[in-house]
Amino acid sequence: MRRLKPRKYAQLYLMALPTVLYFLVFSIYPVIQGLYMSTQKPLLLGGGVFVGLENYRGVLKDRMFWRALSTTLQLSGGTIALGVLIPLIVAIALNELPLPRLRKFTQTIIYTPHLFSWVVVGGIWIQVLSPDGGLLNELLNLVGLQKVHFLADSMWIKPLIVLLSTWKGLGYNAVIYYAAISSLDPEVYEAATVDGASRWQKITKLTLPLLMPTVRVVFMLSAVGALRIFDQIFVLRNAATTRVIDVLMTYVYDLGMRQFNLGWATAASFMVTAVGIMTVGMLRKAMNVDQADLS
Amino acid sequence: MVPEQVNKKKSKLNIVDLLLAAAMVGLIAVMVIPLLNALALSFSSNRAAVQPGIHLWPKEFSLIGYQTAWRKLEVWRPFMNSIFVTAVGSFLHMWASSMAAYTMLYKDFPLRGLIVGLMLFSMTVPGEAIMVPLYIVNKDLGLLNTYTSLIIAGMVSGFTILLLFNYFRGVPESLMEAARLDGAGDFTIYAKVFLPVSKPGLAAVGLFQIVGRWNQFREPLLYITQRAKITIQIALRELVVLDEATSGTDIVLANTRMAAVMIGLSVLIVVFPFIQKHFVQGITLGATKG
Repeated sequence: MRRLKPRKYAQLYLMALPTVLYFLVFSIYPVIQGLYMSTQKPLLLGGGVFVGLENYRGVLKDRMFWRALSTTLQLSGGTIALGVLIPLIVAIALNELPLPRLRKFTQTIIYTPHLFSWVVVGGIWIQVLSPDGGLLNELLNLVGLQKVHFLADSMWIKPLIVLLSTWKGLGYNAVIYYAAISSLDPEVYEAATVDGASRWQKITKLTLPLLMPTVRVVFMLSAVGALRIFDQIFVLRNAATTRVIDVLMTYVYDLGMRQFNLGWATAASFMVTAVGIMTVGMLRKAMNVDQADLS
Repeated sequence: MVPEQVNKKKSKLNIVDLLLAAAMVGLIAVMVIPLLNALALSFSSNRAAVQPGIHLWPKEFSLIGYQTAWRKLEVWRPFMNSIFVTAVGSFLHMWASSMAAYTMLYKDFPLRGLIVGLMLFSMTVPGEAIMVPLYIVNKDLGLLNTYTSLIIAGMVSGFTILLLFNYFRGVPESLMEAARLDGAGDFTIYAKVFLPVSKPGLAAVGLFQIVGRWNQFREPLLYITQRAKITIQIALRELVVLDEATSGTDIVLANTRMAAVMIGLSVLIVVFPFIQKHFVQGITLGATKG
């Protein structure tokens, strides 16, 4: 660490000012304000009364909350499972591919959707899945199958959200895995080749075990946002499916921004955040993932 | 010799290699076909866009979709709003975060502990969690329906400060001392010595800021209600997702909707070639977005 002493700190204070102000006003203050709001019951004529933990109790008694929690766990669970496994297979396949040009091209292409917003992903796929003239339904028609109104079908909507999340995020995780594979020691592989190990043996006995730390990191990265999924649901829900795919954050949004039940909305979001932070902390401990692994 | 054998194996493609290549081509198809479908429709004429069938190539090539989206549905307005908010927001983010990173180099700077604490706090509490109180703060500050609310959202991030701090730490102390002997103040040293040396880090931060801010969705959804001030993602949602937009009495056709999607992708297409160089760094930065 640097021990240089500037002649005076005045300029440093100025340089730190925007950051300190920003964090105080847009991070610390909202949390305090939110905690306060979560203990208030609004009065008809404005203002509120202190109700203690009444709002928290109310949320915990709300069946919609538990339904939203269950949906969140299903959607995130599915997305994490596919998002950890499929990119791993893709990255290993890429590494085995002896065509460097195709390898690079594949990497570039599959990474691209990660940069798209959910509105764009939604727009593209709503068109593909559309019942009138959508690409997928036209293909179904070609092979003589019935039209499916995918995004309005409560049976299809959950698997579709998991699949679209995987489509969007697959390349991102594959790049993480591929970077990890590329940094593995080539001498180990040469030694294995000398010993006459087959390709399959090298994958299962060398690559996979050596990748386990990265698998854990990818799992953690995916788990961090698991309870907070919002954009994809907000974009893909419609009148027919909104009750089926309501998740925790849309529950908070609807409570706070549509029904103006600020007490319940903030109480719910704090419980979700607390559970999220604890879960991630426990996972981190259980799986032995340090921040250091991330860099 | 053994190494030759290794080389020999690499130069010949066997069945497994061909299957692998086929699988990768299949994967590419799954990623590209939905995009190609949108692109083809966006360049199709009104008549061709409503015809059933598989659209992977423009039928009756036409720019009418783009014209309708841009002019009639006035997508140009949210497009310009987003360009402005993205440019100013990304610039301020880099500026504020890099200055904070610089102050962290001084171990005995009195605010250092506070900044580290605030950073850790903000990295633990996700933006979604304080969605409602953040709305109230913006309302109380009179920022609703202003571009300022969108520019300030995420103006500083702990992840960016950490990344740039790591760059700054690598700058040799001699450079700093030389500048100080020349009578340079801290701001000058930061601007003239540290920023130029950290260009790759700044570039990565800037690129991912541009992508993130162009894609900004929750903030404009919450803070902006005036039609004239909505941003591209909100306009796109109305057009392609909700189907709520009307152009006079007509319904919005598929070519117009997909043209709007392409307009929504345009900035990413410009940025993408630069992003490629920063894939791996983006992973650390991307962690912010969860």
